[in-house]
Amino acid sequence: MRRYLDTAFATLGAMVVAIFAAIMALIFIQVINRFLLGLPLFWTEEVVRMLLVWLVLMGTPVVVYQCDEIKVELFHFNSGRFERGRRLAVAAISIVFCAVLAYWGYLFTLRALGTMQPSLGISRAWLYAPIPLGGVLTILAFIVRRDAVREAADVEELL
Amino acid sequence: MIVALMFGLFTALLAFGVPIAFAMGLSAVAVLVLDGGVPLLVLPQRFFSSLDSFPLLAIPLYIFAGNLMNYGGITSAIVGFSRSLVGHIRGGLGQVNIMTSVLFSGISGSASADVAAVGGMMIPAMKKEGYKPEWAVVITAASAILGPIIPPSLLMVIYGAMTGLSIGTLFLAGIVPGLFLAMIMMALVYWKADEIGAPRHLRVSLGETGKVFLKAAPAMVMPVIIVGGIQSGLFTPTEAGIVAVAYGLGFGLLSHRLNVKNTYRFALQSVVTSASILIILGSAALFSWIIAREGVPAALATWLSSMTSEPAIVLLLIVLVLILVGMFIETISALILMVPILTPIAQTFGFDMIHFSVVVIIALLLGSLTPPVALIVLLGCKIAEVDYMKTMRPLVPFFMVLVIGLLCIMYLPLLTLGLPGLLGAFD
Repeated sequence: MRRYLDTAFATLGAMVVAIFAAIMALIFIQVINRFLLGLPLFWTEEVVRMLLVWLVLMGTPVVVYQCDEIKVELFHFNSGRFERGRRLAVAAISIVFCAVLAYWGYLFTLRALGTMQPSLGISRAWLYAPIPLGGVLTILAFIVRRDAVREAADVEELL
Repeated sequence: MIVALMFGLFTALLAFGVPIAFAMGLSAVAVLVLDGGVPLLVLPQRFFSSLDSFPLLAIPLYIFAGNLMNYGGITSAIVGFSRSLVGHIRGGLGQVNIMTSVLFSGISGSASADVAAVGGMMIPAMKKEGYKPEWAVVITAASAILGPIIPPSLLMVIYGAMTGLSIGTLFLAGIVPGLFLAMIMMALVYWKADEIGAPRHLRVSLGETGKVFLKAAPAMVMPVIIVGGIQSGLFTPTEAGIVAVAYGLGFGLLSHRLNVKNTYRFALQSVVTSASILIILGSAALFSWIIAREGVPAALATWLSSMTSEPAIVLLLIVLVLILVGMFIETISALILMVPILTPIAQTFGFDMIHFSVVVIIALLLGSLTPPVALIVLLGCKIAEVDYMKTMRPLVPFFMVLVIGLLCIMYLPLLTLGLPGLLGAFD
C-alpha cells in the first residue's frame, strides 16, 4: 500500500516538475523572441501565470506528503501519546482549511465555467480549477502521510 | 475587534504547530464566518489573485538556479577563494566563513539555505582547527542573514510582488547594507579572535589565489547576470531567473557532473520548496484582505501619530515589532504577514519605500537571530550537533553588532539608497 502511495505522490511530483518545465520553456521563448524573433507573443505571460497557480496547488500535496510544510516548532509534548494526539489535531485543523478552500474553490470554478478568458480562448474555469483540486489532494496527503513515527524521533533529539 | 480575534486565533494555531499557511487561512475564514455578510467565495478569489503574478515566478527559478550551482564542489571553491582573500587576517576561518556567506548569497536567496550549505562545510573545518563549536555555529548563523540582503533575494522578490516596488531597485539597495553588515561582523571576529580560538593562516600566494578564483568565479557570475540583466533593462526579474537557470544548466553540463537524474531531482526539490513558500502567500491573502478591510493599518498609523510625530521613533517602534515577529515566525512568512500592515503606515509617515523595505527585511532577519528562540542558530546547532544553550554567550556580541549595524542602516538612508541612486534606478 505504502509503495503505491509513494508512487502516486512521486507521479504528482513529476507532473509538477513538468509544469515547471513548461513554465521555463515559455519564459525562455519569451526572452528569445523579444531579442531575436519579435513575434507578438502576448499570451506567454498569461499562460505562465496560470501555470504558476497550478504549480503551487499541485505542489502543495507533495510538500505535505513529504512533511515539508513550513511551521513553527516551539511546542511539543514529551509524552509520545500526547505528541501523536497533537499531530493528529494539527492535521485535522489543516484539513478543515483545505476543505473550505476546496469547497468554495469548487463553487468559484463553477461560476467561471461560462466566462471565457479572451486572450487565451479557454474558459476561466481552467484558471481556478487547481484550487479545489489542490485542496482535495492536500487533504488526501494529510490523511495518508506517515508523519508521527519518524518525526517523533527528531523531536526527542532536539530536547 | 474581529482583527484581534483573528490574530489571537492565528497565534494559537501557530503555537500549536499548525502549518503557517493553514493557520493564517483558517483564522481568516473563521472570523469571516463569525462576522457573516461576506460570502466565502472571496477566499478562492483572493487566493488566486495573490498567486496570479509574473514576478513571483522568479522564486522557483532562483531556487532552481541556486540548486544547480550549489552542486559539485562550487561551495568548496567559494570557501577556497574566500580563504585566499581573508584567511590570513586575524580571525582566520571566522573571516572566511563570513566572506563565504557574502559570495554564496549570490546563488542563494534564503538564510536557511545559506546555513545549510556554508555551515555544512565551514563548521567541521572550524572545529578541526580548534574553534569552539558554539562560536562556529554563531558565526555561520549570523553571517547567513546576509543571504537575503545581498541580491538575488527571495524576500525581495516577495516584497516587490506584494507591493509593486521595483525588484531590481530592491536588489541594488541591498548590496551596500549587506556588505556593511559583513564588514562589521568581520571586525567583531577580528576583535574576538582569541576568545573564539581562531588560529591564523599564512597568506596564500597570488598565483594560488588566481587558481581558486577561476574555480569559484562561475558562482560569482550568477548574481551579476541577475542584477546586471535587470538593471540594464535587458530582462525582467523573472526572465533574469530563466537566464540564471540556463547558465546553471550550462555550468553543470560543462563541469560534467550534471545528468538527467540529478537535474530532475533538483527541479523537484526547487518546486517543493517554492510551493511550500507560495502556498503561504495564497492562504495569507484573505488574512491581509481582512486587515485592510477593517482599516487596521490606518488605525495603527493614527494611533502612532497620536503618540509621536517623529518618524525616526515610528521607525524604531516598527523595527522592534518586526524583531519580535521575526523571533517566532520564519522570515518569509513573517514578511508576508507584516508587509500589508506596514506599507500603508510607512506611506503615512512618508518613509522612502525602498529604504523602508530593506530595513524591514533586515529587522525580520535579525529577529531570527534573537535569543531565546533564534531559529537560524537552532538550525546551525542541528548541523553542528552543538547544544543550543551554549550558543547564547557567543550570540550576544554578534547580536549587538548587528543591532548597531541595523541602526546605522535605519538612520543613514544613504547606505541603502546611494547605490541605486548612483546607477540611476530612481530616474
